[in-house]
Amino acid sequence: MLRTEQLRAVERMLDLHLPSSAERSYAPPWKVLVYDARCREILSPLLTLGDLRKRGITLHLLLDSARDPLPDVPAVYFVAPSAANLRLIGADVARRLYEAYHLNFTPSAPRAALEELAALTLQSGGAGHVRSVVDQLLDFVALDEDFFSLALRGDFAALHAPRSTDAAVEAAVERMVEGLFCALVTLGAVPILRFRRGGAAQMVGERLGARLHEQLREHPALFAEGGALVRPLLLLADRSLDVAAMLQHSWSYAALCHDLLDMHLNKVSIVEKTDQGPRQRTYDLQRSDSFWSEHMGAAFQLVAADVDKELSEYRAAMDEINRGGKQEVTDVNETTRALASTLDALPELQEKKRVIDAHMNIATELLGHIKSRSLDSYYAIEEGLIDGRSLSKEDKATLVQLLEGGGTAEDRLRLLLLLHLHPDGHAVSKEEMQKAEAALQAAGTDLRPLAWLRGVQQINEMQVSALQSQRSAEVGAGGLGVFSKAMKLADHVGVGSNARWVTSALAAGVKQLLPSRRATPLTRALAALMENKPSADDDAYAWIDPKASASHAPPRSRAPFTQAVVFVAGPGNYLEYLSVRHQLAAAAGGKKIAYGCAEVLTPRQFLDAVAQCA
Amino acid sequence: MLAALPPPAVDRTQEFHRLVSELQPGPSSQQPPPPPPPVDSRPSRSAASEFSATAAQIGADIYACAERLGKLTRLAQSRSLFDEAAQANEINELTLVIKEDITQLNAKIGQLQAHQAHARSQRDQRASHSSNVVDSLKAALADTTIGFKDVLQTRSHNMKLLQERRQQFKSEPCGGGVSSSMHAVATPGFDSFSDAAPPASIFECVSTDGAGPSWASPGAKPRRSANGAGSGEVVIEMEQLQTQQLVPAEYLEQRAQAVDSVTRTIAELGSIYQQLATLVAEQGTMLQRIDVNVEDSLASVEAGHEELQKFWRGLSSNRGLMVRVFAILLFFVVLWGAFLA
Repeated sequence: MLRTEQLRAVERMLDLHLPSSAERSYAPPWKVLVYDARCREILSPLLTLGDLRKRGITLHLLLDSARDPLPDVPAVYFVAPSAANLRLIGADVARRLYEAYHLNFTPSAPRAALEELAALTLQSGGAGHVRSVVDQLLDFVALDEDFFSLALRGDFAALHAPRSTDAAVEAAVERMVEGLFCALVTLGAVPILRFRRGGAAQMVGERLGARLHEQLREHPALFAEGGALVRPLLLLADRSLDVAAMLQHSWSYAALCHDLLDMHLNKVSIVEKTDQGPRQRTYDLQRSDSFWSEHMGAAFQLVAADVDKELSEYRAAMDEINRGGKQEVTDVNETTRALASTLDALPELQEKKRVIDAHMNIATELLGHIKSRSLDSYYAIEEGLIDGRSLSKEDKATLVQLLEGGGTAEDRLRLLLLLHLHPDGHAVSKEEMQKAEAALQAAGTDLRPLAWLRGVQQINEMQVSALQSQRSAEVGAGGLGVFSKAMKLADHVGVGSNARWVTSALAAGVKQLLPSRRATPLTRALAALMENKPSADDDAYAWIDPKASASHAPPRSRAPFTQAVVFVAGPGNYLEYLSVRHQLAAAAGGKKIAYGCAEVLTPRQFLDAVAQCA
Repeated sequence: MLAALPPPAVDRTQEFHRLVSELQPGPSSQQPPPPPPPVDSRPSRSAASEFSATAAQIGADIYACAERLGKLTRLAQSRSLFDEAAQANEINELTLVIKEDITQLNAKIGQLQAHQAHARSQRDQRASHSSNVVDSLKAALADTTIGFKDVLQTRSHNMKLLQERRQQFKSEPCGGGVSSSMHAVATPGFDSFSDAAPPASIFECVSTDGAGPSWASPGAKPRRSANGAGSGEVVIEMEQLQTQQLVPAEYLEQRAQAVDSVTRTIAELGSIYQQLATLVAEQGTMLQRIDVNVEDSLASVEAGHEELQKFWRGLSSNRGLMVRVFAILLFFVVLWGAFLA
């Protein structure tokens, strides 16, 4: 839904907002696309070079690169309305670089920007060449239909670093609100906002609520179509709700690609060793690739097996064709027709081969990493830890072994951090943890993430106790209040420690063979809020309806939600996306859930970001 | 043209032009500024415009050709036995026109490409723009050609099917199996009579067909009247034997020619298609990402920068050497001056 909508908007932009090609009676004019780095990031998961050509785009150029004049070609600009970009556009107009200028800004250009642009173009007498100025509310990266990232770099540090100024925090929150607003407009939905008080999510939630309210009043046309339909739930969560998800090792295909191969904007690069030395190969992993869309959340060994199966199917098909050629010729016409159909089938097979090759190479690369770093053991142990299962003797032995010398230093650090997050399992004694820490320090590992985690835990504990006293004063000793307090306490202290779901008992035996299907704090909160019944979780989250005015607030509906958008006000990753997606698969009745985050970070990048905050 | 944009886009062109006219000094501030004529007098301009005008013309032509092709496709897909004769002419005409179009367009694109290659040997963005235009024109033409070829193939296939169906109704099938229409023409007489006399069930199809009588032969009317009484059919057919004998022969000859011309056209298209095939393969694998190119160029820019630095280092070390040489020379000159002069 999200990606399709964004793509549609982008295509309209590339068609210069003319009526759609079906109604047009002439070929599209050839034009040039000029974008900045951020807009390229938005476009690159959406369109390939071939798609651009089909839309009549002959060249795609960066705004700040050297560009030659093409005085008889119109240009489509897709840029952010920053001062530097406006100056560059002004210079382009002054130089008469193109025939006409179709300017598209994302996010919306403030009035001051338009004024500056008007002044700049008027100065050079080229204002008449500016044919259109359009705000495109597309300031987010749609990685999939139900997965978006705002691609905001470094916002985690801005929000969480102790020396971060108020202005930096404000700016980070503002950027998130802007991007989230764009995503909601593109979805065409005015959601009900839910967020937990205290933290970035609250700031984003309150501002987004105000922003939506104001825009609904000023530009009601923005939500005219979808706004009246089923309203989704927008759950805003803080990263601190589930830190473990950012650190844990994973076992599903997409999460492994992201963690081990640094998948970025649906692209994976692998360095292959060929005869002519190392060569980098990039693979595009999109929804259009059926193998990818089927196996994103599948366990690694299943992916390997299926790639193998596909390969043998392909070989069988090829054999069939080869055998067909050797059949004795009975009828010329029949043979010709058979030949023609074979020729038609060949490109399809070729395409299939390309996909199989890509996944074969990726899987081989992943397997190399998994073997050399014994990531399967890491995954199994960590799942057990987070799930709160008591580890068996063997598992404990493995854990100690892993802490001492398995995988890379980064893997060990991640395990150590997870042990700190989930100390209740008593899996490892304090001494052993200290030993591991000392060993990591001796190996020259950056231990700042550990320091950060300790700081966060302290703050959390303080908050909990403060909240506790406040709550008891507020609610008194009502039965529900006590229960709620207990729940909150559990939520805060051991993040996810109370996630002892029934499935764990079942999964314990086969854990090494399954990707995580465990409920995370995020999915649990989502499930509770979507049910929309009075509960402890329900109480803990604020409710904002942007459609309600201050004077007239419609009574709150208690009907369960069928659509939801989960947004993590901070970094997210594929592991979390897949667990939310699994929630969608588990929920019967066609619930639509989209997952978004401020930026998609691999565990390594997250550790770097955390290190800056310590 | 930007009247009401769908949601994620907000049109601000009006606002912009209002701002411009507010800022504009003088009496013209009231009206929105008309697009001024391009003030560009570079010599390359005329050549460039010529190129784009030609390209636009070819693009429009290809579009028109595609429209005609769509019409032809609709015609060729109708499999009725009886519309055939009336449609045959139209189909043949269209086929000829489209074939002519494609050949001409191919030649034009060839010229355009030659012109473009001739005019600009240097590699700049204009050159890559023009080559992309030519490429996309070629791809569009290739698509049309493939569509045309497919239509012709279905048509010849349909004709053969018709032939087979006719032969099934013969009381005495001759040759058996798939026979070419040439064969059917070679044996007039009884064959052709039975060819023109399908059973009553198919007559019913025609009479329900709103298109009306499209059968060109004079025998059509009496046979249609026989529709009501299927049993009387054979008698009427026998009566009409003499008058009909000539007409189907003529008709079949015509059809034989049609099949022949279709086959020839396919062969001719084959050669054009061959030229375009490589390009189609290229276009088909246009799965390249937008950001890849840029990263590549970024890498080459970095490599270039490194080379430049290497060169600079070399240069500066040379300079150092030069300074040293001069210093030593100067030293000797001073030495020579001090001791010998």
